[in-house]
Formats: sequence, C-alpha cells, structure tokens
Amino acid sequence: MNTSWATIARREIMVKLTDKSFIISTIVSLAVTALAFAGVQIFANRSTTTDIVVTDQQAAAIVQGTDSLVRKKNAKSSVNVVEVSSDEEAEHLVSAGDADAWLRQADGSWQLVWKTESKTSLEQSVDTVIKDLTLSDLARQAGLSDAELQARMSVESVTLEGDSNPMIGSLTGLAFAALFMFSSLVYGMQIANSVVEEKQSRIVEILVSVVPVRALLAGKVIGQTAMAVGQMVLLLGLGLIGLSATKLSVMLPNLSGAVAWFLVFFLAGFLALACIWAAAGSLGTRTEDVQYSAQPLTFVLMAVYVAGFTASGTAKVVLSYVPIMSAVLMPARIMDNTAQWWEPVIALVINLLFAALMVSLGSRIYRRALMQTSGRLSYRAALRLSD
Amino acid sequence: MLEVDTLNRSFGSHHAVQDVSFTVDAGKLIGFVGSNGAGKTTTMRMIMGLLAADSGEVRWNGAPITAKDRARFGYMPEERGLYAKQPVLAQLVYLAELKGMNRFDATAEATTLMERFGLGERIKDKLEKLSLGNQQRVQIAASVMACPTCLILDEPFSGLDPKAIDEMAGLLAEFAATGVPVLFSSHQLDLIDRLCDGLIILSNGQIVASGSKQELENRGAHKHRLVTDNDVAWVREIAGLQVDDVDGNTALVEVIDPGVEKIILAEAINRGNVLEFSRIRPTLSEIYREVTA
Repeated sequence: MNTSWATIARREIMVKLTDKSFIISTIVSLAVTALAFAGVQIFANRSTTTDIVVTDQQAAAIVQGTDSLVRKKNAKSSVNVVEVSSDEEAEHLVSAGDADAWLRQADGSWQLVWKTESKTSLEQSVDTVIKDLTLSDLARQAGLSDAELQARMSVESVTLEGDSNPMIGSLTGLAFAALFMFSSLVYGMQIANSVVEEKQSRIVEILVSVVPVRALLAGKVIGQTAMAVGQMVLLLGLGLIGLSATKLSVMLPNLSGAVAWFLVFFLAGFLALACIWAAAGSLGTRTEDVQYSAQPLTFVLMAVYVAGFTASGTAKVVLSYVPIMSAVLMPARIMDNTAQWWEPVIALVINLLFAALMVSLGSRIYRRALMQTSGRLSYRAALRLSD
Repeated sequence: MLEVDTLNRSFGSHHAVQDVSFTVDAGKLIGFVGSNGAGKTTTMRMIMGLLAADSGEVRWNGAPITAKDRARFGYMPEERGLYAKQPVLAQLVYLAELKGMNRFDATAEATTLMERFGLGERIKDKLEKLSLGNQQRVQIAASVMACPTCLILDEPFSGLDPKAIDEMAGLLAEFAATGVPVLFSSHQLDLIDRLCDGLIILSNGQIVASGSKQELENRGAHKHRLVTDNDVAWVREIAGLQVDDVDGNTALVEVIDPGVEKIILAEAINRGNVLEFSRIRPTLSEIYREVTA
C-alpha cells in the first residue's frame, strides 16, 4: 500500500483547493463571519458625542452622571455639558443644531428637549442616572448607604449545578448542530460524488489495477476529512477571534473548551460516516444515483441536527453518549458546564469504536460494489456480493 | 511473458469466458478479436484483477500474477475515462505517481508524450475541453506512462482517425520492440493484420483460433490460382485437388494431397506459357468469418 493513499489524499485536496466554487464558498463564509463580528464591533465602538444644554447645577450633575455611564458602556462615547444662563439661549442652541438636547425641569419632572427626534439610548441613560440619583437621595434620607442600596436592589442568579446561562448553552448547541450537519452533508456528499464520478468514468478500473482498494478508500476519506476539519477549524477559529474582540469574550474560556471538544468529536463523527458516504457513492453507477443511496445518511444527519437543539434534561445526557449525536450534544453540555471531565472522554471512546465499525462496514460495501457497473445497488445487495 | 491458463467466468447462468488459455510472449503484439460480447473485456478485466476468475490462473513470467505485478502494467479500460474536469497533465502525473514514479519524472514523461501526440499546448486544459480523439490519445498516454512491463489495452484504436491510429500503432510497436508484451482488442481486422505478431479469436467465450497470422492462414484451405495463355479446363482431370472455379485461362483450385501443386505447375508448363501460379492467402476477415461461423 506504501504511500499511494497519500497521493490519493493529496489529489482529493488539490482538486478542492483548485476548485473555484470551493474557494469562493470558503472565502464567502469566512468573510460573512468576519463581517458579522466587524459589524458588531463597529456598532459597539461607534463614537458618539452628545452635547446637552443645561441651565442649572442639578441638570449639570445629571448630565455628568450620564457622561460617566455612557463612557462605561463605550469608551469612545461622551456626553458634554453645555451650561447657559437662560432658557431662551438653551432653546436657541438646540433649535440651531449647536446642541443635541436640553435637559430641563418642568412641573417637577425632567424633560429632554430635542430639535426633531429623540435618541432612545441617550434618553435611557439619562433616565437611569436620574433614577439612581433620586434613589440615593431617598436612601440617604432613610439612612442607607449607596452600597446597601445597590445590594438591596439587585438580584444574582445562582445555579446548583454549573454556573451557566442556559440561553447561551442552547445557542451554542444550535450552532454546533448546524455546523455539524452542514459540514458533514457537504463533505459527505463530496465523498460520495467523487466515488461515483470515478465509477462512472471507469477510471476506477485503472486506479484499482494500480493501487489496493483500501488505499483508494483511505486516501479519499483522509483527504476529504482533512478538508472538512480544516475548513471547520478556520471558521471556528475566526469565530473565536471575533468573539474575543466583543463583550461576549467573557464566554471564551468555556466556549474554547467546548469548541476544542467539538472539533475532536467532529473529526470522530465525520470519520465514522465518511466510509459510509464512500459506500453510498459506490452503490451508484451515475451521479444521479447518489441522492438515493445517501438517503439514510441525510436522515441520520437531520436527526442529529434536530436533537442538537431540542434535546434537554435526561434525553440530552443520554444522547450525548450516542455516536454522531455526541459530536453536537457533548460539546453543548461542556458549554453548559453540566458535563464532568470524564464524560466527553467516554463519549469519544464510544464514538471511535463506532467509527471503527462503520469504517469496516463502509469499506466492505465500497470494495464489493465498486466494480459493479450494472445499475444502482441497495446496501443489502452490496453486502451480499462476494469480493 | 503473460500466460492465461484455462480462465472461466460466469455471470449468473451466462458462461462468459470458457477455458480461455493463451500466451503473450515478451515483445509480441497480440490482437484480441471477437464480436461484441465474445468475452474479450471480461478476460482482460480478469487479467487486470478487476474481476475474479471462477477458475483458472493468470501467470506473469511463470509465477501466478500478483497485485504488485499488475500495478506495473499499463491498462486501458473499455469504457475509458479519466477525470473530465482535471487538467490533462495533472491526471497523467497523478496516475504515474500512483505507479510509483516521482512527480518530477512523471511531469517530464507526460509532457514529452503529449508533445509527441501534438498536444503539448493543451496539457493545462481540462480533459473535457479536448476532442474525443484527443481524449483518446491522452488515455493511451496514461496507459503507457511509467515504463509499463506489459500493456493490456481494450479497444485502444476505436474513435481514432487514420493519422492517430498510425501514431498509436507506432507507439505500441516501440513498446513491443523493448520486450513489452502487448495485448489489445480491436474490431479493425486490417489494423490487426498490419500490426500484430499474432491474434486470438474469441467467439461466445471460447478461443476458436489463435496463433501468428501465417499459422492461421495455414489452418485454412490451401488455394492456388493458375493463369496460362490457353484454356485450363484440364485441371479437372488431375487427382488430389478440388477445383473451385475454371474460367477460360484461369483456374482456382484447392490442394487436397500435399505436393499436387507441383504436378499442376508441371502440366501447365507442358501445355503452354504460365502467366501466374500463386498461393491465395486468405485475408484475416476471411479467416475470422470462417472460424466464427
């Protein structure tokens, strides 16, 4: 067998790398990811300077409080106090466009006067500051310190198991499920198509007369797996980098662990199905046959996808050990912090054992069906064939 | 030397190849002839190990053939195909690499071959961009890359124009001259007549005739034509021959007792001037029709 599998794997990779549609789709998906993060960043870092006119010290204090609140959210934003002596002057500045708003008291309540339309975010900030200031005033009158007031007014979530945000956990689960399904489906189909293409053109006869069938299968599966995992690493890597630049970077420690496990499981899960994809390809004689032969596989992947975001509770724990399913559910549980350290290890071992079984089954079908050229075979008929 | 020893293969109840045995000696070009469905492709696929034989054996240089031996053969399948969407050079290099050649040598050899076939400019083109005839040239090039020890070619000449046939025939003859056994199938009997050192005729899964062209010619009836300057009706009087036709001064006779041709010639000289006395060699088509009838 020597190194023929490596030559075959290299061809599979080179064909992909020089395929225009592959290059374009990879660049597009990376660009979309990068743009999404860049968009979030640009939006978050947008520097805004707001000038608010005041005519008294109380209003000036509120605007200063608003400035520090706004700066805390976004260092590049600020709110300036513009002090004037008369209401006429203040109104004039706003209507002339030299200031954004005028903060004034009217009939015992606060009012922000704008020229044409209000800015909701600023209004909210001012609102918060006013509430805070009023509350601390009242608290001081009642003999409470600011710290006591804060403590009495806030609630903190404490979970008995893990310390997670279930919302983020299920979002990650959904992301893993979608990534797993699309990548497996796309690359799996490519394996099947590459097999049937060789069968259809009969180049397979030349190949099999030169290299052992198992080398042909190994090269194909290894080449496509390398491409699938490589693309996944690129995409997830970019995602993590993008995330680190946003406020969600607090999730990184948890998420990196989950992503690393996801990659390991993706590799194991993809390998388990890769030989079955090759078998699906070998059952056909024309590319049109593949969609029929691949039906069981698409069904399994759809089930994994659905389970990825619907499973919960005990079902999720049990399914996180089931091969293929574990690729999506175990990393999601790691993200939730509901998995002990040994759980992914066991799930991975189960997955690898399953992969070994599938490789042997898939290669048996592949070997037997590869030289059959009379129409599409069923899985059962292929297994009944002799070598 | 390639030996095929009593190969058998059935598909269901159809006995596609029955007790087929033949030898392709080193340096010999052997033509494999037979109608569609005669068993040529099945036999070739068994030689290449793509199909298991029900019984019988293929030997290479005296020992049962191994996958390693086959990996060094040049093979061209019947329904030929390379990667349609891959550039010509890339796939020739790929196939040669699988045969153990390094990339550098493979590139050099593929380039030389393509230049020789007048396709030097097109090595970077995708195969599907080439005309069918040119795709066929690339296919032949693929089978002769990496110094094959034996060539097994299923219909290498189909779809080629006369010029391309001459090129390819020249190429095969070169390989044979270096001691490579070459077995190829074809329906073009004139081509086999011109190219081959020997032929094997298959009919309904069985070999009905094989040997050098001369051997096959000798199998059939020994016919002679006699032309003199006068009437030759007298040949009917001579024993030991069968007269097929007499037309004035021309007679067509078949020798039954060996040596009777000398008697005919002596008698003809006695009776006048002999304008022609020659052995009539049957064409391959005639032999083919006779043995497959």
